[in-house]
Amino acid sequence: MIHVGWRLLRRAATNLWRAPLPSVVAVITIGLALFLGAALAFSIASARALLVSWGAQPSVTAYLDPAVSEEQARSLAERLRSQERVEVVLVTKAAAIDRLRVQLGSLGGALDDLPGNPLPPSLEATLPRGVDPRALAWRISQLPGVREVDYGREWVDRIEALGRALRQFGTAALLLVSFAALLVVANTIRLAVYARREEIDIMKLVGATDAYVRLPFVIEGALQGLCGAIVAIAGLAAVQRFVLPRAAAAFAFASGVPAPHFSSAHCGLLAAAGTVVGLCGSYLAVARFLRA
Amino acid sequence: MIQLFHVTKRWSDNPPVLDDVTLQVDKGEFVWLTGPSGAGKTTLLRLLFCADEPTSGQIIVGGQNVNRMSPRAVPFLRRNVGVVFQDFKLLQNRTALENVGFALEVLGASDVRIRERAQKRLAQVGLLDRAESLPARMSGGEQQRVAIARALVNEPAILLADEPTGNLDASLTDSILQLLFDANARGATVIVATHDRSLLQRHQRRTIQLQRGKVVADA
Repeated sequence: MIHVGWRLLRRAATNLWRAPLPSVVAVITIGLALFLGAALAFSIASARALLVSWGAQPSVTAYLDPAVSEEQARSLAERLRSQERVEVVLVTKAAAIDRLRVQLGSLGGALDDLPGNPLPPSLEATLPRGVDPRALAWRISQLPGVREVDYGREWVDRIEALGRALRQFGTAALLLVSFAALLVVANTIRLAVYARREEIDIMKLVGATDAYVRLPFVIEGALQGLCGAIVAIAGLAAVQRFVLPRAAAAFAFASGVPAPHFSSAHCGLLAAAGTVVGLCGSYLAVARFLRA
Repeated sequence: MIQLFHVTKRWSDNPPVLDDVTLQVDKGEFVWLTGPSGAGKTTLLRLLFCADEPTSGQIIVGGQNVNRMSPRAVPFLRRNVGVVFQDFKLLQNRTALENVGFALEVLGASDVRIRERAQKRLAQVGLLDRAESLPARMSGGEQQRVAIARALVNEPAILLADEPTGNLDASLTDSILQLLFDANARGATVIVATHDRSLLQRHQRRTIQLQRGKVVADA
């Protein structure tokens, strides 16, 4: 049995060697399909990581009643820290007007003409990852002395909507690319099988079972898929090395976290995907000829 | 060894290619199957090695009713039936030795055994010195001898030949026929389809004559 398996493997390799052109076409097709699919998945994952980093540390600002004293405000801040385990900064009325003065720059002098300080004291809470800003904002709004809570709702909602849309688009696009890749690969391998239909006829004529006929083609398909995956991995590695450094720097600058990179686990996944696509494509292609 | 009972083969609504054929070929017989082109010779042979199914009737080959045979069992029947075609049907990218050994590969024989038996068969057909040649570099007669060696390498009980000398000149024809007679002498049941009446006159054996799908003579 082992010698039969070894013979089939040897024959698959020999067939690839003897008919290099269809094999090269199949390998390039699989490589391109995997490259495009992986690049798409990688881009979507990066875009999502960027969005998550942007939306990851929203802050909640609680504007207090102007009548709340500084002592009461400090007490509220302490309560928030202990209850919600968030970082809280107290911005007093004086600090608020100073901040505004700095922001207004040369126009800051106009604030001196005001009869009093109209700005309320506020508490600025910075949320750790995973904390829902809406829920926290609602809980803060229930505290005594809190007049209004702002957590940049529109911004958070937009980012989340964008993330959802990106995920849906990404899933649909990936499914489409995968399906198209499988079709293209199956048709490419079918052409290679078609070129060898006479061999299939003769194999059946001398008493080969369907499994025996199919196996070398399936092994060839798997080998082509693996080679295609290696082509795709090489392409992605080249892009990462020569094209992405600038994009990665921009990503790190924009998100504050390192850019995602193509890891050895991704390589393994891609190699497995290529092998499976080649295997399935050739299985489908040969099955059609065996039925005929 | 081979029995056909009221076998009819028809493609859609066309007139039958074989029409109510009943015949029997005993073990070890040599039979000519003759008739003009379109008489149904090739169709009859294709039914015997299960390349097609009869529209009606029963076919028994080597004790097995092919009508009741599952598709999975067909390869095992074919291993006991050697087939030779007018156009040789050799794999062009394999040497003569590999083509002959191909029929043994599917049986799961070891490489050593395949080589030994394929060389022995090539020696029997006088082509041992061409073992490493590709079919494209061989003459028509040589290619047909390789095809016969492949058909015989499993030592099948039945050998079917469809116009095996159709593409060959007279001198090669006799040498090819001699190989078929030799196989028959070793015990194989041989059926040779031909429209060449001169062959039948030179080598008188049982002859089944087909015309428009019907057996019109059997003597």
